[in-house]
Amino acid sequence: MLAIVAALHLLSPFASLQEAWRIDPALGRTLLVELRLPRTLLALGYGATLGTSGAALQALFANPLASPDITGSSSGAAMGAVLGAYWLGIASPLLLALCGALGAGLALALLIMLAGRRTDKMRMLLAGLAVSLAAGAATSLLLALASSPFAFYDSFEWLMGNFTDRSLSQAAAALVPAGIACGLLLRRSRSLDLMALGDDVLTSLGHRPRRIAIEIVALSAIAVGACVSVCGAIGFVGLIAPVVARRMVRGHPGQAMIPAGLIGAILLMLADFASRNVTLDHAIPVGVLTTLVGTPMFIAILLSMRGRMAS
Amino acid sequence: MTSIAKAVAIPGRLIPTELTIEVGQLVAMIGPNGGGKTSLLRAIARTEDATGAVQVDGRDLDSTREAERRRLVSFMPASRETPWPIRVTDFIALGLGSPEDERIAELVAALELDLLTERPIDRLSTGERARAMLARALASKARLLLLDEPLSNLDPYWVLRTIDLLRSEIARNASSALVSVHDLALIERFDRALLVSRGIVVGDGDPAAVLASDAFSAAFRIQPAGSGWALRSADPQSSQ
Repeated sequence: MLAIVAALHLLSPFASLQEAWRIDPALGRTLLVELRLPRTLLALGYGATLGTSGAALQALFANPLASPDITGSSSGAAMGAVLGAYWLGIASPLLLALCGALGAGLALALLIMLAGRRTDKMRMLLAGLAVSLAAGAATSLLLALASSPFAFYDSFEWLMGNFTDRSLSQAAAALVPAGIACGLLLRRSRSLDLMALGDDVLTSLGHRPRRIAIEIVALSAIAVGACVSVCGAIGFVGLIAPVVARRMVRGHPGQAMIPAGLIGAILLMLADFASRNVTLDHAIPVGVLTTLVGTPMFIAILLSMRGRMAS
Repeated sequence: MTSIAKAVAIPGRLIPTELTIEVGQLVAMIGPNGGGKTSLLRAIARTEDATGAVQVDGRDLDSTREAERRRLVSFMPASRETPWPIRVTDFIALGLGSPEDERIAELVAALELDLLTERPIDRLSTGERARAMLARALASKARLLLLDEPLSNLDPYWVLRTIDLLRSEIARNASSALVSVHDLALIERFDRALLVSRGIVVGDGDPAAVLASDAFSAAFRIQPAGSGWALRSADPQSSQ
């Protein structure tokens, strides 16, 4: 399924690719490798990152609402990348990815300070909202006070979540750190499953919950921060994918990371495919589309949680 | 082999404590609320804030990894909260390194969880959840069971059944169990009683002797009265 969606994303629309190849094979190759491949790789990798880190954060916080966007880490990453790009004059995609990771890490640290790691769902939502609002306000302020008069305009489409016109080097800057971080997150699958027994039992089995928590927060921040710095913040994929994935692994929070990554990749490629093919007066940024689709699903999760608490 | 705790402590809650538990012993731990029962169990289970050292089967727990630790010690906390609604059978299997269907089926039958195995654990009653948690703790056949109030939330039938189950498990697996208990009427069903108060072990020995000791009366601020207990007359709070 992943391969089919990736092939569809890469090759569609096929007619224009075929036409370019017919006119000049070099043009066709450029279109495929320089334009379409980075976009497909970013949609696939960013989606997988959101799914994997979303599942890890939900397992860590024992909360199905914990995801990169709801915890504020995506907003923090955007703030870090804006600070790096418009105030520190950083142009290197890899250094911008580092700025994004630091911003995401700062947001997650702030969330834990405000709400604690094992908190009720309402406090998590409120603390995440506070962190998101603070990071969003800081991002706006940084853009408003930036020396470039076009900072707002330049960053608008990027902040909304966009894969258009990204280069292979930008894709590498986002996906290499994100891939390494996600790989390390997957190594914690067993520990995250055992968190379902509580921290004391986990410790009695020789695990170190505090160290695991720091690892998960840092690795999620690196993975999400790197992707946000290149493609902007994309909401709800990191929330929805783990919820669906846990149904495939009998509810195990740690084991859900791999299917969540696959589902996230498929969801984001489909969303980008739709955003590319829904032609209004202007192209719809993929982040806007995921938010439009994700919001009703978020409400559905909230309603199911309310039903569960009531029963 | 015996289980030996050397100077185990939790700063601010439990002073350094020495304890030896022989194989086959079913030990009840009693004490007033906040006296340090949970702290002693957590210290022996090696939770993050615990100091000192614990040896089980001659192995220092702090130097073991998960696979060996699981074989040596199993801890059941007092809380019945479960962060994730995973199915009961999967919850029990979390106590094992790899799925052992026969062992899980045996515990499910022993604790009469047959009709609940596919239910999310958070949809169980508190008593049912306590039984599922006990099954998880017993699943790995650990040499030392550390059970924090496993009898709370259980009806009288299950209280007695659980004590019998613990006794048969430790006999069959050549293990031992340290069990915190609130119901003083149950203490004499155990091989040994440990009295913990103000973060110190103040009594240790035959259950009947511990219940009759001055240390018990001082710790609980109650005294024997007929077939039950009464507030200790010398306790200034009892006259209020």
